[in-house]
Amino acid sequence: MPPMPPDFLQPDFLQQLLTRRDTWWGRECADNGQGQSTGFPALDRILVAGGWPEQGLAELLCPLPCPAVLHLLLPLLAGDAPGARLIANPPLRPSAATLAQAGVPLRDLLILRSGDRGALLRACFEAVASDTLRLALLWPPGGPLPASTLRRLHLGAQQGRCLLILVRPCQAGQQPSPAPLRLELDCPSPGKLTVTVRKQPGGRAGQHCDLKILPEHLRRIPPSCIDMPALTRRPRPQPSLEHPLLRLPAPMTAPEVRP
Amino acid sequence: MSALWLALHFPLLALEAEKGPRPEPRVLVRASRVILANPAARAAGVEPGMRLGTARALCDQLEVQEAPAGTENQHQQQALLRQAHQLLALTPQVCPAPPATVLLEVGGCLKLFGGFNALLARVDRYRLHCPLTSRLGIGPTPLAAWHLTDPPALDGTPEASRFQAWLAELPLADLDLDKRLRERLQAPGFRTLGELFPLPRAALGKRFGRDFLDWLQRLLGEKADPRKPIAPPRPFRERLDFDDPLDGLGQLEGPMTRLLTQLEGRLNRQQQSLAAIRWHLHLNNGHRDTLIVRRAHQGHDAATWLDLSQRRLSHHELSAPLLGLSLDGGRPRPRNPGLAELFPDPGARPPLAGLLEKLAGEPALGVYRPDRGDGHLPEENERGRAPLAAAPKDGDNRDNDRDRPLWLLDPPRPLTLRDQVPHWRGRPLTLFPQEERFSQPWHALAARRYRVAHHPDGLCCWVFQDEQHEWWLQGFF
Repeated sequence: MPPMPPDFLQPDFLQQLLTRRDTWWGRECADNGQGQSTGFPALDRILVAGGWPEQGLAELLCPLPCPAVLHLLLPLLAGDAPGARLIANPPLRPSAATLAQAGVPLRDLLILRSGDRGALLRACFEAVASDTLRLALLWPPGGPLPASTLRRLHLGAQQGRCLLILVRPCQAGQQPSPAPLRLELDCPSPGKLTVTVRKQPGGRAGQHCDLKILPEHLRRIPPSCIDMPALTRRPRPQPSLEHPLLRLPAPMTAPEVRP
Repeated sequence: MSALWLALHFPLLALEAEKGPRPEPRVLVRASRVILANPAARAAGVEPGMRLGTARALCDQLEVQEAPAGTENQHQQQALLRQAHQLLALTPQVCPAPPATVLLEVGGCLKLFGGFNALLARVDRYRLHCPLTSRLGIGPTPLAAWHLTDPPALDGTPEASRFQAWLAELPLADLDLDKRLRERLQAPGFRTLGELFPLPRAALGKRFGRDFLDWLQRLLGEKADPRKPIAPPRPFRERLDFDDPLDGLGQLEGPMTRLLTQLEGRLNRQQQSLAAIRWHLHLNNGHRDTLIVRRAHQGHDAATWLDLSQRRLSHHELSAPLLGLSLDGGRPRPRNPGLAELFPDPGARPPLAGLLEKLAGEPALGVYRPDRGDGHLPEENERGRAPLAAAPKDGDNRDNDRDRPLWLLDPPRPLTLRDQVPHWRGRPLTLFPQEERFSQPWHALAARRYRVAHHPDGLCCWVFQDEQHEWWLQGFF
């Protein structure tokens, strides 16, 4: 345990500590029960706010590349709430056709790429603080991401009423972060996602839930055609004569006409 | 609405056209005779018509300017036209009347500016900031405004009878007519213009010529006097030259602000806006660097243009000291403001265009707006629109029943094949048995055969086999 400062119990010191902007107040945290739904009821249940926060920084920790991250955020990207969406430095190219099919308004979507780390972070800060964006997804470029940078991004996102979601590798979970919400993602099998809460304001950590992000026919491998019974061996279906339309009228003998 | 004309005379235009008014005594000279003298020279006793030697004897520090051979020079015309363009802020009916007068029809603009007095206050403000000496005339017709200069303090638009009375008091010797005609007018004993009014017009025409009668009728408003207003000016092109070459781009803010303020004033006067501007940096080595600054929508405010220009400039490197800076306004478009909301939503977000303009100006960033293309192959079915291009359209969700990946690899990456099983990152893929064929364009050989595959890392991949039976990874679900 680090040595405690001698004036720890002084009221001045406590006051100073309480007026710091990064000190969380329990009552305040309990009040913000209004979040935007994640689109996954199981995930909404384990988040105290009932969904994603409206603004500020959130971190997703996952083994990179994690294609499932975008599936998790598709309900958030879709919808007709005002404000633009930004995807910054994605590892691959998000498919516009699939995004449009999922209901993401393409007119409000912007994709940002840069090889220059500083320029990218500056542009992201400016974008989230501009009050234009509603949601920004950032895959941070390689290299250290100091707490001061994260804090600046968090404040910028709060100022611009934007939810900034950082997608970071799992190793980053060991470093402290000013992000109020940290979730750890894991893909045990294709199409399934396990979400574990690492940190959330006003709530407990360690809860987890399993989500199905792909439809059933993509999650399971269908049986091969070779294993299926051949069509020729199937019993030929009998033509049913139950339907009156298909039934032919019985042959009738013509009445004999006599002169 | 009755016509009301203003006339702005610039009596010293020939002297002030090039360098503006000077406190030093200054005269314009043609054939050793003084034609024009500025107030300082007049105070020393120099009068037009004097010999140059006499003028020099009266005033020691006399600056002498030779008048050009023609009646008016190019500088004078340009200066007059510049003033006429400035005056377009007041009314669209601005008619330059060379050599040194601009006529304005303001009868239709009185309501816009809040009445006659407010309009005159604007004119006074303009004259205060105008770099030329000016005299104001006012009248119901262009010729009347030309002659009725220096009106007394007025309270409201004067009536027609009052103008008539002022015109009647004009001495015939001061009229803007030919000298011989003035002498002929004065010969019968007439002294003022009012003495000619009661005379029968036909007799006046017979005696003093048809042109004089025409002039008089136009002066009194009995005959129409159509004037041609100036055409809208050419695109904004201004250049600033620096006395000392500039080494750094940091000192450019002041000159840029000056040019942009001029541009904004011009655009506001003409109700126009611009989608792009060009900066030309004139370098000491004879080269010229051009920076283009674009906006998502047309705009006219100098502050945004300055911000975008500085962002653009921060990525520029000078190869030589800077001698001059010029701004090219390009092609202005008429402003078409959209309907403003009567009660705007207090929580409304600003439009995306502002952010796009800023991000598009950064050369280190690649910004695009994803959109669907018309290609057939998956990687050709995607296209990125430039940030300042038109926004992609929503709707029209094609292929609703097909499974398509959310992430695409462009171009596709090759997969290694071991024991007839494709591997990704050293681990085998489990292929779905179903196959989907994408026929290639005509020059390619065979169709691509697409399959869904599972990867042990929990990935759902989209892979295909080409005509050489090689496996490629196209995307992830």
